[in-house]
Amino acid sequence: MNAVVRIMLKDLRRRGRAPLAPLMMLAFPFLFAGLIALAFGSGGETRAPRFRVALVDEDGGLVGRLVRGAFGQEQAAQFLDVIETDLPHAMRSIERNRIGGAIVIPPGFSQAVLDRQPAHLRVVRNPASAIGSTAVEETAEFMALLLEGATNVLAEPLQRLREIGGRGTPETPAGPSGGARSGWAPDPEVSEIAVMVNRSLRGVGRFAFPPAIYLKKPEAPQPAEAKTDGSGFRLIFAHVLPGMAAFALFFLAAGLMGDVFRERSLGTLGRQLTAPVRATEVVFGKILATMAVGLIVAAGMALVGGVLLHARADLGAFALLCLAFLLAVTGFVTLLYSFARNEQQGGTLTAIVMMGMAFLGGSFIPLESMPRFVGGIAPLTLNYWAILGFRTLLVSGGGLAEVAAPLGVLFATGVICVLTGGTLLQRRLMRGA
Amino acid sequence: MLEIRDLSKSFGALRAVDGVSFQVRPGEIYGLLGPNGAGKTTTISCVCGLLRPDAGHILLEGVSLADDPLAFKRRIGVVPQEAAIYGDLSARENLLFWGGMAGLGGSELRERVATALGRVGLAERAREPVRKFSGGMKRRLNLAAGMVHRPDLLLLDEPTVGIDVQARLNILEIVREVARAGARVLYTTHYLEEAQELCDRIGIMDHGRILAEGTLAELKRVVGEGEVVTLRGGFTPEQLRGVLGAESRVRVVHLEAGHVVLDAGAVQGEVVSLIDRIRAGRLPVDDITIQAPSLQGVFLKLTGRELRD
Repeated sequence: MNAVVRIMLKDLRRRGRAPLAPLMMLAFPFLFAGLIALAFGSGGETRAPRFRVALVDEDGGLVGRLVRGAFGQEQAAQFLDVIETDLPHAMRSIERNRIGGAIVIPPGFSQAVLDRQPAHLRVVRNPASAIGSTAVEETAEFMALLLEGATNVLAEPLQRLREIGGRGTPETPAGPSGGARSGWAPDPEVSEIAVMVNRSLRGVGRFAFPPAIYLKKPEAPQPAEAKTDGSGFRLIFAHVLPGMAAFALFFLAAGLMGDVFRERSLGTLGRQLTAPVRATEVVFGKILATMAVGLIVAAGMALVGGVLLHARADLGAFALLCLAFLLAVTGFVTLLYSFARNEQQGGTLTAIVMMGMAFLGGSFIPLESMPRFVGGIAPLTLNYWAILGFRTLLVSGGGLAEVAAPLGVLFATGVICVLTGGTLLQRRLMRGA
Repeated sequence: MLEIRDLSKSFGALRAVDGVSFQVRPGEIYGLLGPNGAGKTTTISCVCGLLRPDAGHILLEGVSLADDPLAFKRRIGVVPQEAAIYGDLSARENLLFWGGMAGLGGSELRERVATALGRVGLAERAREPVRKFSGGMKRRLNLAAGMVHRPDLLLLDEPTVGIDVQARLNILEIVREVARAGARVLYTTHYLEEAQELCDRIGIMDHGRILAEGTLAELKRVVGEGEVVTLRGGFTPEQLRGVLGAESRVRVVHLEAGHVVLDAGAVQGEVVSLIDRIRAGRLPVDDITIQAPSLQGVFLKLTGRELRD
């Protein structure tokens, strides 16, 4: 039996006796992708998180009612759960960390707005909920901005409203405060005010009403199953899984190749080098063992992933892509280890490069969400090509022809790195075995 | 025959092996004796091909390690100081691997593995993971891994360091058996008794050089049969020379302030005369050691220091 095969079989047997690390690497992508999908994709669709906020209207006037109404609008309701209540109840809810904060419309708020006098909205933050309280504060600021804009645009009708408020009703004369709450006007006057409001709004309509922000979901290809049942969980899972799987296989390859240094400390590497075999055979035996374990783990990932996603990928293309990626990462790790003097150095160097590649290649954060320059760097990473290939096969339902580019890049990189890394590593080992 | 000629190896400015030459004949156990750092392990590492020597020749039955390393390595077995075996494999799996690496295969490999396991007394625990073995058992398996393919030359680098007496005796007996079967054995140690008890010929090594070699009897003859006297105290080299006098037949092996090693030679009564002179000269001596002729004495005479230094 060839020494390379013998070394590979020996390492496979050793891995079989201590299977925890490969099993963890097999489980990792599913756990991580599952957690992300659960966090952002549960409930059948992708949704932004909602915040609970208390609205305390101590004013009870016209503007206060407008503010309360605004919170009931469809868009606000998407992000906020508004509880209309009184201040003591709101404070108790904050203490119990049930709400992100409270917006208080103080007495006289409506009159101050109508009089174009400084008006204040009070915000009570929940210090235990950093995000929730910030959302409440931002909402209040936005509301103040809207009111300021409205008072400017509707200056004329507001003036008429003030005049009406000052008159009082036929039954109730105007109070000392002259509040709008007690105001009364005959129908023709109301109609006139309505026409004025309409005219003002039409004048600013084309500036004020186009939405300032469009919320756009990326038009990513969806797996057939996800499209039919609208499962956000499955959509996110399918998108995150390839990146995580690529990272896990990279990590696995790094750990397994590091065994060269462990064997050196153990003395077994030196003993192998005293046997009638070439140092190159010893290194290539280790490379082959790493790839074999990687392929077993990749096959496990394919099996579990296929069951979970009900994916029907081109198995031949998938196997080739796994092989190419494992060749590339094993060769790359071998090359990195050839610059290291010991396992610690090699491990540190590999971890830094591996994490960098994972981030830049889109293993953790989709490239669509990264700055544009990252997209330019990403093709320099192995993760990018693996993710591209895996997504094409698993998500878009592509075949061998569609993954030709990732396959080519990964195979070429793998062959170059394995040959260069293998040669350099055997030289380093011979120097210090 | 294993033939080492003018072997040299340096690590930077340190000359670890400096022109070492010796031969090991079939059936012979050759001991390289020296303190830690003497160059024994570097010599063995060069002979087994782990280190490339700067100069010199290594030949086994005419096959040069430099010219045909694979043919040379096919005929050697190596037993490193630490047990270089896989803890997660069984004893049998370990030997199957190491035997296979040495070029064996099929039924021959399985048969040799069974024989080797029996020889080191591990046949009954052959299928247990090695990590459960005691230190002595691991050392025996380490030895079995080096000799499973029945090499022509067995290289052992201090194989008994740190193990109990029983395991040590067991290993020494197996090494004797290997030699009796006709293999050449190159054995490094810093245990004098072990070298004295086991080795047919001994090379005394220090600072990368072989200072003397031969059988124990030859070595004693080379350095003289007389006692070795070691003095320690508060004297200076000049004071000592004054006491010894110009006509003294005592040879100074090593001399520094407060410490001297003297070779009293084979002349009858020389040691008594020496002590009289020390007393008469009022030399401030705290401790006198008189060593009868032995390998320890030989080493002391050659190097001027105890092996444990």
